[in-house]
Amino acid sequence: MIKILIVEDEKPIANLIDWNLTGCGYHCECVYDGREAADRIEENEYDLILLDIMLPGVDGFELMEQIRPTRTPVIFITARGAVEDRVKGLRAGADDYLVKPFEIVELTARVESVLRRAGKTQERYEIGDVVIEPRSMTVTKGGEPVTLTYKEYELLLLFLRNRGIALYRETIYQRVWGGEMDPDTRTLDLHVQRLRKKLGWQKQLVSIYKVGYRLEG
Amino acid sequence: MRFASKMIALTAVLLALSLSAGGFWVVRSACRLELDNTVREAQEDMKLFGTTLQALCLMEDPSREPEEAVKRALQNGSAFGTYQSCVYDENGKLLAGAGEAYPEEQTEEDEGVIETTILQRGDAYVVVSSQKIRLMDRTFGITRSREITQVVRQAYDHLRRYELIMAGVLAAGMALTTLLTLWMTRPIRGIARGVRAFSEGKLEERIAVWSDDELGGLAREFNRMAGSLQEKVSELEDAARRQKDFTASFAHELKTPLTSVIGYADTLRSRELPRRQQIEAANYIFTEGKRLEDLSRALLDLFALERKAPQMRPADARQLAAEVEKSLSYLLNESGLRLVAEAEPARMICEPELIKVLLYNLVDNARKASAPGGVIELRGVRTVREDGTGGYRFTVTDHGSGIPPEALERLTEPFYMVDKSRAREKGGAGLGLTLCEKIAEVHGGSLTFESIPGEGTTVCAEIGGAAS
Repeated sequence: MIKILIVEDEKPIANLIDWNLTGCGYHCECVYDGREAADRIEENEYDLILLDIMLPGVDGFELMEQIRPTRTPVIFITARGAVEDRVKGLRAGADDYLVKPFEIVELTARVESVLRRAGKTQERYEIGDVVIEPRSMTVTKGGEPVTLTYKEYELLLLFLRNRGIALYRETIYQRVWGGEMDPDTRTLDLHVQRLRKKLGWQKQLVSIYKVGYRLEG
Repeated sequence: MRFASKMIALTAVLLALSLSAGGFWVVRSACRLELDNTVREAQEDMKLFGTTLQALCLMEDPSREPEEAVKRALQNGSAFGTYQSCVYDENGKLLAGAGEAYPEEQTEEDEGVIETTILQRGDAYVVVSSQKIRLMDRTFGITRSREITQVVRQAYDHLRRYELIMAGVLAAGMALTTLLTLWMTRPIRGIARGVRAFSEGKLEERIAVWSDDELGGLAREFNRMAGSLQEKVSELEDAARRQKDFTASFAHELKTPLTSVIGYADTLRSRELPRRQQIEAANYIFTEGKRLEDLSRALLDLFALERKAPQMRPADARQLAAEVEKSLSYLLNESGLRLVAEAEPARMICEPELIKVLLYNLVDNARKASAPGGVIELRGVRTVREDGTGGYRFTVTDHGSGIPPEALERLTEPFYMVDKSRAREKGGAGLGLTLCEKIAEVHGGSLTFESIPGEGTTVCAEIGGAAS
């Protein structure tokens, strides 16, 4: 299981991240100040660290110095969204940047993408008799390969990474189609219908009235 | 052209003009005088020679040929003076004479008029006088000449010597002027250097002041200007830095609760959460929303205070303290604390609402720092301010946790919190003391802190405008 350390002095925010990443199947630990974070990093090995920059005690940049030799991927969480702050963070060795306030889907997408780049992503997803292996981009159902278009595959990955989360139509359009589609068109519904048919997911892909879709299981 | 070069050139030109004009006049008149003397001498000699010749002719035999008589007389009179003489007939033809003849110099004037000229013959100079003279009932022309090369040379030598001396004086004068000018313009160059350094951004650069003259004064004035500019610039930089810090902290304080509100709301709408977690999420949204409300209220108070002048009116200090005590009594009771309020009665000119906010905040801070069972003291005394007017001093003392020394001077910075997590738990955006300081300032006063960690803190608010 993938272990994530959340370093954030604001308990409500740490808790929020914890809930949502745990819901996606990650194992999370929260610490609320820099010194404790330094101890944890020394004692344990993590697959990913989410790091707030403004911390009491030891701040995020100092912690970065300690983390860098371990080659653990880091996502900075900060209220400072100015370009120079982002550049400073990335220079310090962060793999990505999450600016407060953020949406849950953005959080899971960034976590997923950083883990994927670090080669720590989940090897395969299994739902019923459907197996998806992102590394080789193969999808099989009952051992038989399933042919998907590129957009169908992207949509499938989005559902997989946000299992149990209701995905809003606009969010899906933004993530899969880059926001260039009018959310009222039927494109999304047609894609979902084809996924249901090809994977036999009539029950798993739940449509939520006036909201969007959710993958269960 | 640099100022120094201009001054050197100008002085040199003036020096040269006056020296050469004066010198030329002096030398020329000396030479002229010498030549004039020579001419006069020649004329007098001619006059004398004419008379002598006439006298000699009178002694000649009248029957003789006049030409012969004149020749003899000339021979007899040749020894006379240092001049060489020639005699010509009416047609200008040379009859007799010694040395070189100057027939072309014979005068056209009437008898008795002597004409004298100075002639140049190669390198030599000759003075020639001529006149017509009546001898033996005929008119003859005479010229007398003398070489005066020596005299003219001497005059030229004078002139040359003068030129040499003038060149020397000019050179020395120029050297002296150069030194003087360089010395005089040194402060200007110093000032220019200072100004250049200053304009290049070296604001700490000053001009060394050497003299008491106008340039020294200018340097001093410049230094004064540089000083006040530097002060202004650093004030501006401070203000800009404070503004930047404020914006950064404000963004942080705003975005942190917003992140929770948006995040939990997003979670609630997208996930099927158990009932317990739903309530927890809703509670986070509520408390963080409240935090935003506190922040916006504190900010509005602060902005209002900066924008409009307070509504000053008389109020009783003791009354104000009592009102604060009353409005805090519930909270104090709940925290298990006792407030001792002792304020001298005094009529204060103030905005009573603001003074109450000030006292409320200070006492509430003391409450947050104190452990249950503790005592908080709120005291008020009349004071006399430096300018002799009446003032009032409130002090709030607690015996709580105290403040570390390094945090003391940052207490009134916006969003500064000594212990962030503690401050959060007890509610607060880090603007309370910023507001208190502003309130003290608009009442012509200030806020000071004394604290010993572990023993307690005393906050002192000085306020102006009190009368007994």
